[in-house]
Amino acid sequence: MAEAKPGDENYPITVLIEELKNEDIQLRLNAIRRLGTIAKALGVDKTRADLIPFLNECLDDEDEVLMALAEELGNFVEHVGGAPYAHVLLQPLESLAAVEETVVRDKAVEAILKVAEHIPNESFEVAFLPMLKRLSTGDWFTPRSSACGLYALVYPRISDGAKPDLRQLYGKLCNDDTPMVRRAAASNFKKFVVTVDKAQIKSEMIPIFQTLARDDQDSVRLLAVENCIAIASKLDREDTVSLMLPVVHACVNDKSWRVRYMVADQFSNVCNVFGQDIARSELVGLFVKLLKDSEAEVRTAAASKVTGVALMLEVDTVIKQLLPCVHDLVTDDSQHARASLASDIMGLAPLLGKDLTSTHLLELFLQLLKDDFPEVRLNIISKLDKVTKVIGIDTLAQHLMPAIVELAEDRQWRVRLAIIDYIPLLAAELGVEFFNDKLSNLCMTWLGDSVYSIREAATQNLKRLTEVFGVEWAQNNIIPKVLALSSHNNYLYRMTVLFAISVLSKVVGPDVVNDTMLPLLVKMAQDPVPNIRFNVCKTLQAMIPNLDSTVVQARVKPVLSKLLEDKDQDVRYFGQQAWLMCN
Amino acid sequence: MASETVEQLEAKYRGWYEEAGKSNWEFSQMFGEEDSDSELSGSDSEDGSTDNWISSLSFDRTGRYLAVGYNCGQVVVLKQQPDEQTYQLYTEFKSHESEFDFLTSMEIEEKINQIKWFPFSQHSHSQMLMTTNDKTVKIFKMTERVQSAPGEERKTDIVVKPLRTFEGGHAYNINSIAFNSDGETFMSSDDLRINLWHIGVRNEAFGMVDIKPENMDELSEVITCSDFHPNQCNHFIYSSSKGIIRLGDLRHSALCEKHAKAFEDTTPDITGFFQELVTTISDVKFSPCGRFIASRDYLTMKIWDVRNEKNPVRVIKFHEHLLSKLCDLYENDAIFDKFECSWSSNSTQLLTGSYNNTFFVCDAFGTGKQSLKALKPAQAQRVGAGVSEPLDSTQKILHAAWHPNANLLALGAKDFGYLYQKRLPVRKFH
Repeated sequence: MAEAKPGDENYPITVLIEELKNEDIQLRLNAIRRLGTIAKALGVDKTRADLIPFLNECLDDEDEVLMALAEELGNFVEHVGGAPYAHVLLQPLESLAAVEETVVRDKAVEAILKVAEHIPNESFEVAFLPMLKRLSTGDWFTPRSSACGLYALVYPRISDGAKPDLRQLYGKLCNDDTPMVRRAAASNFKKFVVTVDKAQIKSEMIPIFQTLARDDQDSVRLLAVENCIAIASKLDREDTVSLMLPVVHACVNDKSWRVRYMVADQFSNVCNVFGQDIARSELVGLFVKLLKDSEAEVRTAAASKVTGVALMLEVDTVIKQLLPCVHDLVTDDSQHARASLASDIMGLAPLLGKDLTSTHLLELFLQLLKDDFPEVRLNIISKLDKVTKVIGIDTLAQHLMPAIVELAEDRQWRVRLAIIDYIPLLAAELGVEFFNDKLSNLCMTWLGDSVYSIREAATQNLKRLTEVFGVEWAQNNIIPKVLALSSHNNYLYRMTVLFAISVLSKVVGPDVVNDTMLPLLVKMAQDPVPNIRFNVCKTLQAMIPNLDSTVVQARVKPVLSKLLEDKDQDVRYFGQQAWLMCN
Repeated sequence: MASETVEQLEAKYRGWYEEAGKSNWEFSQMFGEEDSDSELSGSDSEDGSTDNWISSLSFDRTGRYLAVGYNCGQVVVLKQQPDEQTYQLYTEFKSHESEFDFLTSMEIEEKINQIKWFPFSQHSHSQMLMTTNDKTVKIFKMTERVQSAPGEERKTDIVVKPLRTFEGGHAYNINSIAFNSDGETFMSSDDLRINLWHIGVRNEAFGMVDIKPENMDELSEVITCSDFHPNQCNHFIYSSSKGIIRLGDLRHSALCEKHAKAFEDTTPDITGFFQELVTTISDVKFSPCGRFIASRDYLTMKIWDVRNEKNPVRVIKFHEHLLSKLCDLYENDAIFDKFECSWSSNSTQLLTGSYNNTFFVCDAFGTGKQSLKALKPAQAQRVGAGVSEPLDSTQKILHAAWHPNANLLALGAKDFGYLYQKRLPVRKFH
């Protein structure tokens, strides 16, 4: 075409064409991301007439570019003239939903769902139904997989006359030759089935579902449980028992551990949907089986659902049937199973009440608290409040201390980091006296840990403790000890003091800041190590917004002005930054 | 098929073997020649470089494409022409570059150990294939792009794009890769471990099998080859240097699969010093029907019924003439050669290569055993029939593949590839 110039009505498209031919993918991506701007420049008529058809021809590019294109098109409704014209976007999006690369197809389906929201009901069927049928019967598995993601959206909005065909088409997709399509059909089944009427669910959808639940491919069968739950939510109790329960049974007894894992993982949901009756009569036996499964992954998943399931059962059943399994899980070979149990088991305490918890559960908690693997111990500690509300802290306290100390001194720093995270929670539970007595020293030790992340976490910890126990407590207990660190001969520990001041200054009152912290900062501004001196500047910079302006003028500025002429250039730089904050 | 006994199968196939035996395998085509237009053409036997030697062969699911991997990391793809007889160069690309592993101070060769095609067709214009060298598995997409500028004629460009790279999964050298029939996962095996990957996830893999002993001094067995079942997503096999084939079931447990079955022929092929060396299995393959397993060791091919772990259905011996020469073959390292084997599309026959550029087509359930020599017709005329030659262990056909739907064989002998055909339609039995 003849060289278009700015001002030419087609100039934006010409520029776009050129940019999309560029070898550099980044430039092509940028061009695509500016499509909205181009559309605005062209106006809605030309966008519809020229831009969209042009984009239809651009579908042969790298996946990143196509993904960006799909995303842009999803937001293009206003650019093509609003709801009445939204359907023109479906043509390029349909093509994108059929390309080879999964991520592009997924984005295209997302975009189609977005555009659909704008299409009015009257024109919906005409716009969507032919496209959905084309995708569902495409030659290659790629459009057929994408089609599965659209049924839940399309079905409720079409006329009743068109519905039987669509259900039949979905049934075909569930019986597709390729596992990829059957998987897509199975994973979208739960969203689709809830839009179908109960009568047709029973006559048509359930048979389809049952075939999927018996598929040869493990990866299709393992999606059965979630679909089961969706269907059961639409059926009455009788039908649920006769039609859905057998499927749950089959999944729990499946040869593939992955299928059993999925049931275990969803077991609370299964119980909730099937109802308390069925949970108590039928499901409890299945759950026990999963808790005792031969594969550790399955036991781990089941262990995390103990409380969820117990909520549906009578206390008596919990004690007689679930607790023996729980008991075995506490000494399970797999650390993951034990860790999973540890994070869930505390939830049983409120269920059983004070006496029963003391009799049955307490020893289990304590055993897990002494587990070899830190994660197990950490999980118990993290849920402590559930138990203390029921039986109080005293029984546990004496056992907690050794556990906490051991975790606090663990060789792996990530374990030490995790326990620091729980200290404020524990402090709140255990009370200020206990804390002062036993935990306070620990918190100080962490400030001197050899790993930086620990020292940093320790300072944050102090702030949170101040929030729990109050400023006065901090003033009396923490501040003196922290400030004492400022004369340590290793500069790294002196730095910790600066971070602590920076963090604590936000929560202690201005008195503490003025009387204790500022003088210390003045002193440290003369530290021989430049890192200390420029961190003083940084600390002051952080504190200035919270300081009274008179204080800033009278005490902060003099310190900074000296540092502005420091012999180290980094100190001068950060001094400058802080100085600017003063004004 | 599953319910028939081996005896019934033998009876069923007898007629087929007779019919098949009536026509000959004929030379169809050679590739890697001087006058081809591939980058690799040109014999380099003068400078002794092995860069252009074929290291792997693989037909795609339809047989329309033949991928050939080379020691130099190049992959050449040939496409079947409409006449259904010849294959022509379709495209080629550099799959792997040689790398230097800094931790072990060892070079990682670019040699392509295996190529496998994605088992489902995504599109008429594009195919997906997976290649591996010793350490890194890669997936490529091969697309036909039609460029038509207005006024010009349509030009078809073939673009090969790397889709995924899976690195860091193997401490030892990768020997096999295989796609799963579920269309989303694949496995890769090295000397001691087998990993399960998802096509979309580069940075994580699951361990399927781990035979590494606590104490490496106790190491006595390594994995030599592995394969997934053609249509059962949860069955896989792996072979070892001790001549044992193990069948694993992915449904059973998540980690460190204990094998579900172990196939071992406790009757040794030979006794003596070389016994251990010749027992190692160089290739193991499920039959297309999925019921049988073929394994290739140095002297024999063995066929196993998946349901019978104790005794192979058949032991095909075709290297008897090597028995007296094992010493020499040990001296020149030829005893460590790894020969591949390949099933016919209807699971009735097996193909494997040998020395002197000979290859064997054997009846899996019959007694037939045909030996042929891979030669250009011009050369074949010079060598009279029935002339016995001295053993030349440098001329070997290590790589062999049978077309998935037709009576067409692809053979790799150093830097030349041969295609042999039989004018006989394939009879499908199941």
